[in-house]
Amino acid sequence: MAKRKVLLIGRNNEPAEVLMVPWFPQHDTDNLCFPASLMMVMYYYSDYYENAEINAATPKMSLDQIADMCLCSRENGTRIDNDLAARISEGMRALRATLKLGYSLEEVRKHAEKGLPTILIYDGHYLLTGLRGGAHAGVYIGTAKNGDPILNNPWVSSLVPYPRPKFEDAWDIRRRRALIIEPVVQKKIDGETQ
Amino acid sequence: MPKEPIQQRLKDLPLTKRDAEQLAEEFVLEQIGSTPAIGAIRETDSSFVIDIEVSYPRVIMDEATGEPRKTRFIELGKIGELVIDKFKGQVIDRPRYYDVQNAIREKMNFISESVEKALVRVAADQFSLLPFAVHLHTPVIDVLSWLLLRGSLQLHDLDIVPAEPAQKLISTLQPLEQVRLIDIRGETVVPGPILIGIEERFERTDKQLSAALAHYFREGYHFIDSIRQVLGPHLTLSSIMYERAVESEEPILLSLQQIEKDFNTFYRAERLLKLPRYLVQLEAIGVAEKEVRSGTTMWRGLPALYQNLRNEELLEPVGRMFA
Repeated sequence: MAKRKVLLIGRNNEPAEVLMVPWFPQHDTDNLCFPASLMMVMYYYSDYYENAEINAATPKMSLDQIADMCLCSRENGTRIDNDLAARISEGMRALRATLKLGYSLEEVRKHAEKGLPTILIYDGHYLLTGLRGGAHAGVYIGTAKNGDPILNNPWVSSLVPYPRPKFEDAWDIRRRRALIIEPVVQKKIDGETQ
Repeated sequence: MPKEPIQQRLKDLPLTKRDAEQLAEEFVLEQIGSTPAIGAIRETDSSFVIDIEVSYPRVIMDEATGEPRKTRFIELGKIGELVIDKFKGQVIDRPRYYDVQNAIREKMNFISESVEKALVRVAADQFSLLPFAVHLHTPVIDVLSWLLLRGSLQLHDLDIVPAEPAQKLISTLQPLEQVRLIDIRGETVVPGPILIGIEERFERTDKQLSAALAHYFREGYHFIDSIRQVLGPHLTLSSIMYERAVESEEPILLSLQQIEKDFNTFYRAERLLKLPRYLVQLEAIGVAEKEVRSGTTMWRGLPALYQNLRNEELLEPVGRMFA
């Protein structure tokens, strides 16, 4: 399993086990949180996921290429809908993206246990300031001892544990949207579906 | 009279405010993008009118470590509105995707231009010290120099330069007239009262020219396009550094690579060769300073100049956006 043991800075070096999802910051002046999150997941599958065929079949795109694939704009950000999931599935060959609404942290945790990271869409402004604002994306990579979700947040850093109640509120605002990206065994690595 | 079937007498229940809010949130996230959010909701007899607002995130990077330091939000305010039919539960009026994109872009440009104008005002004296040879091609300095040395300029004197028809040149001089450095009388340009005063105060012509330029930058800030032609890449570079300072509430160190990346959005790659020279010149006139961190030279605006910038009234509307 592509996991590693880490110490959570700011939590008295509490040990935690997280998926080996690399962290990429979003560009410092743009709304590219979603492409940056997708880039983390993409590089996880290409470099760390324990399946050589999936590693080889997952493309390694730049942030700009991913932003193009997701039709992002530096002003509006990313439109999060089923079309986006379809475009990602098409562009990522051996992976399939599915947009879920009303998801739970328990379901996300179960995915992570299987080695599958999930992109969560929540109100980032609310989480930081308590005031509602735009949507933000981050990658769920594990759970702290007390159940707090640990995210790779392209705004801030990797390994960020968020207090669960506050995070759940911020996630509720965006109807608990989650983008699950998982390997598709039915897909041939040449891109055709069997 | 036969009674209407009960099904036909049933009316749809109107949406609640909470329903409308949720519908609007979905619509914005799926059709417009992740940056905007919904704001105030007004209810009419038949609809809900919902503001679309933007708090634009800015990740403040620590250039020394390359890590994000903090996230701030620029309150761009309302950029459009949605109208939802209360009974049909449908969005009946909305801004287009590109309307929102343009509205955000315009507001971001407003911030950049406000910083640029304020900077021109507070650093007018410093900018006027730039070596004249580095200024871009613009008639402003040529005409001021001409008037200082020759007293007046006849339109027909300019006709000898075919690339610059006299009328076009005159129109580019309007800003100088607005700030009373020159008077345009028919076909003749003569020194204005401010330029005459400067001539009296300073003996050397180069000092007179610098003082005239400082006055032009300070008082003519609203002719920012014209001033950009005079200060060119020096103003662009300074604005990059001071806009970051305004966002971060303090001058922050920027690596040469970061400055290059931003500079590239304004100028062609050939100019990159000159970028270090521009920075050195900005350091020499007291607009920028450098610091070496872990063997890497980094640049930022001067703290004292930044404080003056923050106190500049032109920056008040921008300051409110960062509140």
